[in-house]
Amino acid sequence: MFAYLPYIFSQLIQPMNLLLMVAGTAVGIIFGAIPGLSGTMAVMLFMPLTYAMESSTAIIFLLALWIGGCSGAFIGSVLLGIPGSASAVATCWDGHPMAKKGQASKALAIGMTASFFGTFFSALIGGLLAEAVADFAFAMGPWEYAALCLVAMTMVLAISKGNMFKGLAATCIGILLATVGFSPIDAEPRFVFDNMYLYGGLGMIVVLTGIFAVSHILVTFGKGFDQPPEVSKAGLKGFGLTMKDIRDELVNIIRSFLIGLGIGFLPGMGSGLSNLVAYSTAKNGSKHPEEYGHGAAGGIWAPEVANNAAIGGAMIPMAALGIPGDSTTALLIGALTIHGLEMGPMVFKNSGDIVYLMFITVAVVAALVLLMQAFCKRWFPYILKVPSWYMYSALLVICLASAYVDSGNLYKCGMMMVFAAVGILMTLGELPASPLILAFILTPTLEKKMLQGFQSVPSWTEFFTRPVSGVLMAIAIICIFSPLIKAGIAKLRAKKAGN
Amino acid sequence: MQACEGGLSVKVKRDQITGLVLVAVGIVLFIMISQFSKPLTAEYPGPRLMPGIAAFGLVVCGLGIFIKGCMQKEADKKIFTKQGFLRVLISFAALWVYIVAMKYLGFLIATPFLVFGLTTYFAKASKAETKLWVRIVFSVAVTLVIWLMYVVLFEMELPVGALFE
Repeated sequence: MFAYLPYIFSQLIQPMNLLLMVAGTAVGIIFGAIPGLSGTMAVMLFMPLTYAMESSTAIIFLLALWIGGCSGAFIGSVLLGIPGSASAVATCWDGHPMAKKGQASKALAIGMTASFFGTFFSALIGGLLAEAVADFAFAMGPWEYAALCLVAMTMVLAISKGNMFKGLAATCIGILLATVGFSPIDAEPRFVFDNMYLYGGLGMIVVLTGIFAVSHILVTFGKGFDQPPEVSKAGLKGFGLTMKDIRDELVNIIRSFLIGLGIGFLPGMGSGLSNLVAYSTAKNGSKHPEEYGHGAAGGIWAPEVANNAAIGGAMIPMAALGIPGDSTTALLIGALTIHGLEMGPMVFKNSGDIVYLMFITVAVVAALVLLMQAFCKRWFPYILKVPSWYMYSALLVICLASAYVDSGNLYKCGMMMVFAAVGILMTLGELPASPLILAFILTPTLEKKMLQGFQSVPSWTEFFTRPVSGVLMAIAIICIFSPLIKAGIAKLRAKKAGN
Repeated sequence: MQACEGGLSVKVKRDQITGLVLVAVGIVLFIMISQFSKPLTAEYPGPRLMPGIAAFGLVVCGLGIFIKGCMQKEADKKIFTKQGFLRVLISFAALWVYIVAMKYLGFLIATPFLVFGLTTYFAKASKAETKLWVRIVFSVAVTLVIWLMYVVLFEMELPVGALFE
């Protein structure tokens, strides 16, 4: 890692890279702060812009969007009581009550400092651990890889609330969309209908932006835009945090950090889960659990440290295995592939400089986010007051421009609209989004590795008889049936309690 | 959805429709997969495997969702009102018109009209008061910023328009 430091430093001080880092961070914070938008959407919309950039510049820009978006999510939680994204749900529970008590400045300062701790240290630890994980991954063959992809696709089902069948159906739609075009190894055209635009497969931008961005905007409009909220600007002066505040919560911070890092590392999971787990752990471990929900500082520290620590955690399997930790890392893997960087164990040998640039960039952007948020805190209420009718009309144009830039023809814009219709239908059917993203990104790798496995040993039993793939397959099966298992356990407990 | 027959009211649940649609898609997929040239064997599953898993999964999940819908006692939560659904359709149609307009008029001419139209429609539907000149300036500014960002700064192409090529 240290051998690459001169290269990394030379990249980070390039004026264009610096400019894009600042711009990406600012845009990311805005996308993260506004409820309904997210860092993931920012990465999705601006990804085509990076096609003309050098790999290092593109990575810096995309990571700045992502980190800014992750960190900015707490702003809406604190000032409005509405989370900017799923990663900041638990922050609402104490962030907004604290702001209502007239301590908005302190609540925001905790949010931004916790975000910095989580992101900065998880990126450093991720950078140190990723190569070791990659070395271990060298021992994995195609069967193990295929099983790992399956685990990543099914783990998200284990944590999805509600109907298990709906999560699985969304996964199947993702698999189906990923199989359009020539099949790997055999080069058989599938679902192409003699259409030359389909032979190369459905583009990631076209599918994901159509299903998640365009349809999301149209559905939000269909439900009715909210009026710009009234946000109090009182109590936003000064940084609002002392060293004593940090010392008082040190145990909570370290514990939440480890929870975030661990959950982020698990394939398919991410900040959406880590903030909830960290919050409940902090509440259970607190000497004053009765204060939680009424503006307790620990209730802001825990989710914010954890959801940002999940970033470094998610980057480890992303870099070392090519397996995404969450939806955004799935998008980043797709974007990096476009730039000729195939994530996985070999990436440390082939492009170690770029991989370590990623980890260091995340750490640097974490510091930049803290600085920007500290200096711009008084303007946060204005971000939240941007009227939806202006914002969403501009975003729709960016979506269509992205589709055009991605492919160079208007046909793909039309295709994006088709997927927007699919997204609207999915909303009507209440099918979740995350399983589709992960399945769409992971299916090509899963299929390729599985077919390679069959070429070497033509038997299904390999999946279950090899120790690593056997364990992974068992985890995948448990994940698929976990909603049923959970329901069964709950019934048994209820029965026992009844007796 | 409600169907009345001889005084008997049968309410069709959203999950029932979702389930049936997924089953239908799965069956159509199975038919399409059966036309692939390479067979699926135990020794080598080939190109049929992943679409086959998707099709099988859609049928099974569709049935599961349908059955859950049949067992559901409470009424469905409404996602859109009729007016809301109409708003989605109108916006959707506007974007299709925009794509056609870009083909002939290009990005620079078609975009301000779309942004102005959408902003006006979005604001009106949200019962918000906006000034005409603000909407005009916003539409032109958005167009220019996106064009400068893509074409000038990153040297990418946006549609020029068949009439101006």
